[in-house]
Amino acid sequence: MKEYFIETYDLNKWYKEVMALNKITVKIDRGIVGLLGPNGAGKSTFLNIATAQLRQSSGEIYVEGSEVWNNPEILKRFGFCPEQEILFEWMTGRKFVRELAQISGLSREAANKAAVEAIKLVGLTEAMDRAIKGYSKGMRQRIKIAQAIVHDPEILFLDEPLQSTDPLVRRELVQLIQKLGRDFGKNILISSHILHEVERITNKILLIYSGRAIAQGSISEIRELMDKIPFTIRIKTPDRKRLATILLDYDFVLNVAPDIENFEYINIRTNNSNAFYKLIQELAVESKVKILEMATLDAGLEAIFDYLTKRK
Amino acid sequence: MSVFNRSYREYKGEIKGRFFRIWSIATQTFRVQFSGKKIIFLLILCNLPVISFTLMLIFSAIFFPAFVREFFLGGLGGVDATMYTIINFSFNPGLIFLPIVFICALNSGTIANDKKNNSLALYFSRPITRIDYAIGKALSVYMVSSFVTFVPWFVFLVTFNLLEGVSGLAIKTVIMTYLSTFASGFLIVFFMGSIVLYFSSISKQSVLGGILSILVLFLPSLVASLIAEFIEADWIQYFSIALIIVAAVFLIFGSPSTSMFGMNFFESTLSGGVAITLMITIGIIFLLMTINRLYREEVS
Amino acid sequence: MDAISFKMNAGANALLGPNGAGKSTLIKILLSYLKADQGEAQLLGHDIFKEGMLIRQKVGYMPEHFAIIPGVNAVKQVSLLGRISGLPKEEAMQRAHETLQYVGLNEARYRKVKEFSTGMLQRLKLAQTLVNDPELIILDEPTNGLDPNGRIDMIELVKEISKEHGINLIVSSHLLPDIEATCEFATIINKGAVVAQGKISELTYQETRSVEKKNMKVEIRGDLERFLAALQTKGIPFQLFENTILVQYSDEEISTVLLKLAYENDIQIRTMVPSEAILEDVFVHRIADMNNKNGLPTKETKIEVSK
Repeated sequence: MKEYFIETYDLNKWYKEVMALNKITVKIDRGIVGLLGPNGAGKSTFLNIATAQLRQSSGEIYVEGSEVWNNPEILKRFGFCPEQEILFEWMTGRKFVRELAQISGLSREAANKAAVEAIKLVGLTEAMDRAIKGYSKGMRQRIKIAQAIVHDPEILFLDEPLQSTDPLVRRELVQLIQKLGRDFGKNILISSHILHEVERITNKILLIYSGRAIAQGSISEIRELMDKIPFTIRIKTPDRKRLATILLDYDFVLNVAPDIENFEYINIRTNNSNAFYKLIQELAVESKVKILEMATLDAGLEAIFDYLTKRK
Repeated sequence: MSVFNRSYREYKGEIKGRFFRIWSIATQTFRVQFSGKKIIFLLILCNLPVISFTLMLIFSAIFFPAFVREFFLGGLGGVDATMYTIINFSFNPGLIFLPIVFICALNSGTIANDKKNNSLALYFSRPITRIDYAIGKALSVYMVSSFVTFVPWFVFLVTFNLLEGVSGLAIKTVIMTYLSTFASGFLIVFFMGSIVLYFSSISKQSVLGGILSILVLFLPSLVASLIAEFIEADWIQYFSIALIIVAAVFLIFGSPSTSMFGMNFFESTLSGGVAITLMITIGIIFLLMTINRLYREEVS
Repeated sequence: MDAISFKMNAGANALLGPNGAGKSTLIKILLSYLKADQGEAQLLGHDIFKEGMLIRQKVGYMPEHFAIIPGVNAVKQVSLLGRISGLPKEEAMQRAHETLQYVGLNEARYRKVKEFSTGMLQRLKLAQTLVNDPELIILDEPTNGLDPNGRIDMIELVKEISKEHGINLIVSSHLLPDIEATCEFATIINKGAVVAQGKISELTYQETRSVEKKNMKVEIRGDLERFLAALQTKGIPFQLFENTILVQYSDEEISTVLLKLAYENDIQIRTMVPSEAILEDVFVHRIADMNNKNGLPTKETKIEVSK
């Protein structure tokens, strides 16, 4: 049996009559996974259940094949970076990480060593002996990640790590998270409500909307599955008229229109992207139609989110 | 045939002046502070002396024969003496906590709630100065506070005059009574309101502001009564809010003779001039402190 | 904040900078929440120190954080702020209704502001900036905390306000894609000094030009390994990021070559666009440059926003 990163079966969570999660059944592959959804969609509840801080009302959840509730063995392998900004303000960064490493079960010397290493990894070595209350937002996020990775967990849960950071810090954090995922081979679940941030880190996502999972998988695959919605493809070509005439003969091409803003481009709508891309390549090679650029306009995460939430 | 644009509309009309803006702040705040279900209960409780006097008048007019009524009203004295008596009842040292608690409780959120909800950022991005804002808020506090002072008193006065009738000679006294009532009411409102306004502006917590202003109004009296155990001096009485209010009102009403049924209950021994100066000065100081506080306020 | 001097054009302007760069301080000075220590500044042609009232008459400000007037519903809040801006009572009430409808709070107009969600509060804040028909609106993080649909709506609204109604904009935000969608000009400040300023399209164009190697962003459907191997045998240099292949190129023929290569190997090319710099690249590079250089700031504070 293939071991998934996270598996859930009919996962439900109720707070009295408030429904936080509703029948979530997903199998998420290993790697860096984005947990996306608007505010209040249930992202934090999902994360808290996955890290056994909350117990689901019903259903099952397995992380790396084992149940999480009341299972210290698996919890040891978790690192969690909470959303809250409130830390132990008076501690120095090093002490903060060290104390938490000790709580995770490391001996004093080992904890000290691990803390220094984790802080080095997040790039805070210079500031580690300063009190946390003097840290900027980016530094706080990084010290939070440092405490999450100090006991060298295989699984990381990051709750809104990019929240209200400026672009500089965000770029650094994105690189750090990618490094953790790729070079250190950790499985990471990142929650965020800003789609394009996550799109940059990973293309594996779980989309939650008002307590229900609405999509899961890689972004391009999800878009493929939604084949009922026509694709808009933008092509830059010097042979506009010729290409347009040829394309209109095919019944999977719904519409061919010159771009309003830039007349070097044409926009094509098609309901069969597979056939269309095949055709374009054929035309380019066989009929020598010159094609300079090509892009699908509504294949991004935002477009997908828009389609998926508007229909319901 | 036309298609009308329903979207954004430009405005090229009249722009109102400063007083309109201040008045908008004042009325809006008044409406917010002076709402809720408990208000009616509080109002009745705090105005119990006035209400009972008014009801007494009305009942005596309906049920009692003329000579009983004559005797009764005559016992109270003229219109000015009656009014003075009522003020004394409302603000005597035993009952003064009612209006004080009312004023402090209802106004403590005036600025504190704005700070809590970050409204200052909204107000101060508008074309008003911080003084305008402070004046608007102060006006609201005075309006709320007037509901335990001259508003119910006027109700009583009107009732009294309607039942008694005003004869030609008494008209001057009646007008003077109205003016004195307003003056003493406003003096009390200005004095207490300014203090509450200041304490409302010091923190985000309206409860804290309320408690502090109640303390500030009561503590001097308490201290004075403690000191009075050891030292005997007239000036100690100036620490008591109730006593200076009565002294001020006594002077404003032109020292009326309040011999009720031959006994002189409510004659003040303190100097009214000192009392009035004290109240106005303290009021102005606290108002200025509020404005100063607002100017130092950091708006996020 | 150190001495800073710049001019902003009329139109949609972005005010950018990392946390603590002095953006908020600058906005506060423009609205005379704070006093500048020295220097001079003009907004819409008015001196901000002498004609603060006049400026605030013509400016709408949308604060970054939660800000409501307690105890009232949306219409009352907006109309009160309209009246404080000097609109007569009836006009203020009418405009409050109109602007609330305009920002899409039609149904929620009579509800208490306390019950509003983040998205609704953001719209309410936008409505109150518009109620007095300002010439300039200053938006501080207008899309912060909004969910994806809310963000798109907000961007559309802001765009419409600036494009169709000709209201000048100063937007400050950390979400640079939103800035690219709404603004025409950008001013990037850091440590109280201007790092870069100009039309966003020109800034990104310069940034693209400054990178020496041209890259083509390619995404494919099919056997990735096979395509990469084919690229290698052809001797085309490339880099791989997640699922995106960055192919270095020097002339436009590359697209034909790539398509042919894909066709022969039975692979579909899904995306093939030259990688262009975005505002974020400009932002990150310019600020990194400045942090390295540490140049001396100028002496005088001069801020001017011309109409």
